[in-house]
Amino acid sequence: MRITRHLVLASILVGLFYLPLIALAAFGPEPAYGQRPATEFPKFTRFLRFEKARLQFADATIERFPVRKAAISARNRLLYGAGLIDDDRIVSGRDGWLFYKEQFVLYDCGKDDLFDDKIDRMFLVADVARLSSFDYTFAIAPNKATVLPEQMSERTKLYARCYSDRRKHFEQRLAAHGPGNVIDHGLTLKAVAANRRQLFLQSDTHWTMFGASYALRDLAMIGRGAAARDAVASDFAVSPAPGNMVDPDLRVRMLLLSERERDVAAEGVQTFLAKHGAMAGRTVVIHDSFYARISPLVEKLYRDVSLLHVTRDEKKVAAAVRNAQRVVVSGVERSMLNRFYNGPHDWRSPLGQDILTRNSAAAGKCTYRENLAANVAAPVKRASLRNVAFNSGASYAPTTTDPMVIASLDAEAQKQPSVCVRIRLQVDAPSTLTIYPERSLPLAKQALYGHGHSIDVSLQVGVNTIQLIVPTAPSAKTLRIDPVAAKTEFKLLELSLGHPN
Amino acid sequence: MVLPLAIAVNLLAIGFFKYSFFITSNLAVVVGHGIEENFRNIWLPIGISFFTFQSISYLVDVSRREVVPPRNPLVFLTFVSFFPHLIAGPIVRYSVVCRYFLDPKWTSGDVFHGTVRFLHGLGKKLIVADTAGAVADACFALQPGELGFSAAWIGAVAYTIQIYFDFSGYSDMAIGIARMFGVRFEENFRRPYSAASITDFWRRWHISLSTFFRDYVYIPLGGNSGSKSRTYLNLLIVFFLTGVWHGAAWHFIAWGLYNGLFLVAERLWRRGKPAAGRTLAGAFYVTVVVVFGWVLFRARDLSYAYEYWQTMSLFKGFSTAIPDNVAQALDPLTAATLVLSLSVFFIPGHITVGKGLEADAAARVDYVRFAYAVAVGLVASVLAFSRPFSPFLYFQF
Repeated sequence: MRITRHLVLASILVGLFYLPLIALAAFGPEPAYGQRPATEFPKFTRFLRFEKARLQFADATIERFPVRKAAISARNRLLYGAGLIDDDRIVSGRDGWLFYKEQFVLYDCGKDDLFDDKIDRMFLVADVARLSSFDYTFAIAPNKATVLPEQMSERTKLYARCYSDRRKHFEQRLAAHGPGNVIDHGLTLKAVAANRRQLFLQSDTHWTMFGASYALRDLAMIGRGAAARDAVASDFAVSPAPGNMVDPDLRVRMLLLSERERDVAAEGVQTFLAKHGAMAGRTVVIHDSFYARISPLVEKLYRDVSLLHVTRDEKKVAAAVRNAQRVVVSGVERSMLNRFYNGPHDWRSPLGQDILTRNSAAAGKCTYRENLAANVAAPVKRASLRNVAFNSGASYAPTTTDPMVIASLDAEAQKQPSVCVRIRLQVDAPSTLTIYPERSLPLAKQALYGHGHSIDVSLQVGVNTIQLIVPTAPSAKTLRIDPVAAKTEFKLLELSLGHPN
Repeated sequence: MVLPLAIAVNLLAIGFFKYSFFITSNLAVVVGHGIEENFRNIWLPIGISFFTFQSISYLVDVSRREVVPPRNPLVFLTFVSFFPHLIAGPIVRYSVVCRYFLDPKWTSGDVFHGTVRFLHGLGKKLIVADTAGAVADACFALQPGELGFSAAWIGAVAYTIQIYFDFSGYSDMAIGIARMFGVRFEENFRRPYSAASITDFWRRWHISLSTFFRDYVYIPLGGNSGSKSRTYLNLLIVFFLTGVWHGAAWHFIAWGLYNGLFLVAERLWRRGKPAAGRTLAGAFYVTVVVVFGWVLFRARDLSYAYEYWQTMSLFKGFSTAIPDNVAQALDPLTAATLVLSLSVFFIPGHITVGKGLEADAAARVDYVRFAYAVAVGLVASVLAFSRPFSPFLYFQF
């Protein structure tokens, strides 16, 4: 009797051991899940040599067991029910709300320089585009934490210690930049008087259709006079209504739970678009998943529009932007740190190149005054060289990898919001010229010049003529120009400053 | 002559693989750098500390005629390479297990009880040790300046929990797997955190290592049969070697000597009187000494351990808030697990679960064990499969 009992019980337990292997044999290896790429198996040589590679092998193996997916789902079910989700990407807020942790990274404590540097670039791109008379808008979709801080739990706040301070700092910078071609939908949503919990999906990173409809209102106001803006605002009579069921990305795709969530629809948005949509002009909207949720509505806002995802092939973006009369770039707040800085806000990107081309064309119409290139080597001058040795003629040799010309703005130029710069430069090897307008940062403690607040222009072998209209801060007295990016000899043939006509 | 030679061969092997870099890098400080580079990337054979010690014990036991060498060399090879305990112990002596290899017997009860014991160990490792380990890792990742009094204590206690549940969990698993094959290992842990003194602690912690050093080092050195000072020296030698055995680093050696000094101090305190039972003060003393000891063991080096100790003992950063990374690691479930696991300090030392799971019992007890094993197995599986891979701490030894 005892033998039979032991045999039966032992067989069940041993069977449990082999269950993962049986499942693997029956269902095969599990493809990537949870919105993250599967860990790759390390090369055999690395496996032999490095402990890290052996751990990687272990992770890669475990991940492919179907049982792992079921285990993650089971664990998350219990934790979600108890409001205790806290993995590497998601943390539980109050009342079943989930927060994507990446949104806290931008506003992390102790990253002031990095943060301001990215914001600098966002404003500079917008300003350079504005000076080109280019209808460019950067529209920021808000983080959930920006609109619904009251839904954050104490646990959530552990990851967002500096969130409200840094967000306030961002809003101050935005206010200092002035109303214009950088718009923050977050400010709009924060001001919504109704139940703000209807603006975002509870277990998804994104806004509801109702929340997103406010972005349409913001877009419809761009470029209109005060009276027209008032009309848009008063005609925006959108109300929340039960929407479609959706698979929330945090709960279903990342936590591997099954419950869907009901969206909040925007009743009345079609009426609003019928009245204020179909705006004229060829429009390109470069966007991420936030505008992707409302892409059919965005298409109704403009008469002739192309919507391109920010990760779209660069050549297609370049071709679309080249012929556009209006470009709207939209991204979620959390992406300001990397995705846009290294994407559309990079001067080498198709959009960056297009803005520079348009700006250069506008700069061709500027009136240029004196050529400062002739006296940069003189002891008293309007332009001085640093980290550069004078050879002969107009030829210079950098003494470090950081050669620069500091051009002083005369009294008249200091009063203007922009300055025209024309540089003729001869180089023997491809390089990059960088222009640093002075920063206007009363809140920050950074240096006068920063990488975010700079414009990069590629140089080809031979003589290059660069002309740009560069925004200048009200207090700016200088303009720094790094003629080359390395210890490459160059000839400075012209450095002229001027003003737009 | 053969015995010393055979032991030397074993010690040379472990010396080369495990200690050559440590020795040469310390020598390099005196004779100049460079020589240690030849030894930097030597691969450490898995379980070398364990199978070397087993071989030594076999050699000594045979030479003492305490065991008869098997006629069939396969028996010896099976003993040395018997896999369940090879990676992280316990150190198994031939005299204890030879009967299972010479006359193997295997019952369905062995498989059942072995499986239950294995799952018990797996649960200790995955449910408690890994959970506590996340907190300990967060605390020990902090620079001394970032450590506050609270974080330092949380980290030290979390590591105390982690190392016990990790290592004793592995021992349970090794004992369980061996049992599945009909081989019975001796217990390696006997509720060490319920010890009445540090001397008692070492009778309960890593018992197979302690008895190895007792039988093959301490007693051959004279044990406690000589003068008091000679006894104390013997104890310090044993604990110096215990430290060295754990790793080629000064903080392991310091940890060994730290424990040895407390054993000497306890002998001086008792002055030959028999040890008293566990008292509240004794429990407090053991807990504090053990927790401080594990800081020495876990620290990346001696200077870090020193600063960590200062923070713990001098109330440094008493008002410092718990750093974010520690607070993040201490989620409610983790905190609850840690608090519950602290019971190992309070439950009477004679109550042991692991061994009790193996005793023959009535049918209903077996069903309870079965239910326990299934529950622990399921929870452990969910944790194991839903977390990144986490090796056992004692794999490195």
